[in-house]
Amino acid sequence: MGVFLEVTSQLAVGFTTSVLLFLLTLVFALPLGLLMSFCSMSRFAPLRVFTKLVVWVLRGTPLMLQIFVIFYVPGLLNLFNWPTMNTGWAWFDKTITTRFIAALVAFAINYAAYFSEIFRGGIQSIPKGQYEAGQVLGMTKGAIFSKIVFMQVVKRIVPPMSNEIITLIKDTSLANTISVLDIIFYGKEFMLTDGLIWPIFYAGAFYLIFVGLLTILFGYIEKKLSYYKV
Amino acid sequence: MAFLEVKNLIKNFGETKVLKGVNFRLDKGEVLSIIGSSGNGKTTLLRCLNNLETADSGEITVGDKMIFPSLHDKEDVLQPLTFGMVFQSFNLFPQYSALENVTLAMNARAERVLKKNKLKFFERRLKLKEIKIENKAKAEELLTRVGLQDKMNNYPCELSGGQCQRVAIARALALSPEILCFDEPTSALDPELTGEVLKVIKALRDEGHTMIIVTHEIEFAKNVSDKVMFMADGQVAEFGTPSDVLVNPKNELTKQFLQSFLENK
Repeated sequence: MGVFLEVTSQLAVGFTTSVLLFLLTLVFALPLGLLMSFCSMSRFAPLRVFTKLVVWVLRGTPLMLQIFVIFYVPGLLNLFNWPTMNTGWAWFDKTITTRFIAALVAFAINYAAYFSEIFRGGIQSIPKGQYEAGQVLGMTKGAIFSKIVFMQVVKRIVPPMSNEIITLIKDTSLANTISVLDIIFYGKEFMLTDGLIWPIFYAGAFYLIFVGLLTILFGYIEKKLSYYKV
Repeated sequence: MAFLEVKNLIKNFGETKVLKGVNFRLDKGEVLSIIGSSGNGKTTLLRCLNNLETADSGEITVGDKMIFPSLHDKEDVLQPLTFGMVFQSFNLFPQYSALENVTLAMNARAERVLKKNKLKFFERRLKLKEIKIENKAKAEELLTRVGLQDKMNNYPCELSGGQCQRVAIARALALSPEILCFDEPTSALDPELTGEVLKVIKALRDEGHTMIIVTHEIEFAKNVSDKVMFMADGQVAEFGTPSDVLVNPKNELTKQFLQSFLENK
């Protein structure tokens, strides 16, 4: 029993890092994705083409590779080093490491590319009549997007977004390839130093429960938005 | 001096010439019905008036305002809207209730007007709140006028086509446009629902609104309009009072159109 509690608490520490990476990725990737979707629909052709190329590369290469590139290449090329945190707050400094920040940047950029395509699909699926109705009512382009189009887009993209977001929590495990101390990292530690196999499988239960909660959350959001049809 | 004057309006979509020099005048308070077969530029004309399409050349003036070519995109928020538009497919905002559909643009406009005044942030919020209450009262009055006092808090998906179109009319009236345009307002409706919409349009005529209605309802056009315009091949083929155009047409094309219309009835 003592071992089980010990493993559970260690894995829980690792999983807080995973969840933190997950949440921060969403915080940065969602707005960045929206911005990228606008760029990919821009009337200015060079910007549109450039964005599409970027999205192609980000979706076309393994995320693990992108993590390596983001973590190692700036140092190798003497461009800059990822900053270290010295706040004196032990938990924070131990969690938000150089490696964590590099992984966060890689995740945010990679997921922004996927999100941008979901946003683009959602925005382009809104009938032209909605824009025209706003226009003949004398509304500005900004107001038409924020007050008329945006909520309709949100409703349409909830199902594909939930898919992508569920994938994200599991993808955070790729961060341990650059030794971010996530739950898989601790699971492997038990395997390598204590010869225990089961903790790494037990780690799966953490993901499973988390995804269960996400599924309930997205179900709730879908239900909340079901009062209107688009 | 006519209120609305359209001079030699031309619009091409690529190689297709849709409007080939449209000319007409309309006085304030008059109702104009535009009839004609599909594909003769009726809808395009309305869309050019509403700035949903940009004409290639020509002139549109309303009162002493030049609407096209000069004034496009330089609209003054303090002025009332020149044109309002009711669409064939309603284009209501699905996520808003009937009431919110009507108040949305009013509130958005109030925000823009307030931004022009150099008020402090909190003063502006406070003022906006007051205006929103006024707008809500105005929207309730408009919805009552189109007979939807019981449906104000319903969403478009809970309303029938006729009710949706009446919300759309209330929404278009919210910003008191000087000229209200209808693009086949009853074409997307079940036959038994057209009556309620036409009744509302009739009531608006009696209140003295200037209106332009693209319609296939010849009987209705006869009853409600001061002027009727028959469009053929991107031009005004015949223009006059309902009795001139619909009862004693001079143009061969008008005669044919009315004839085929009667046969199909």
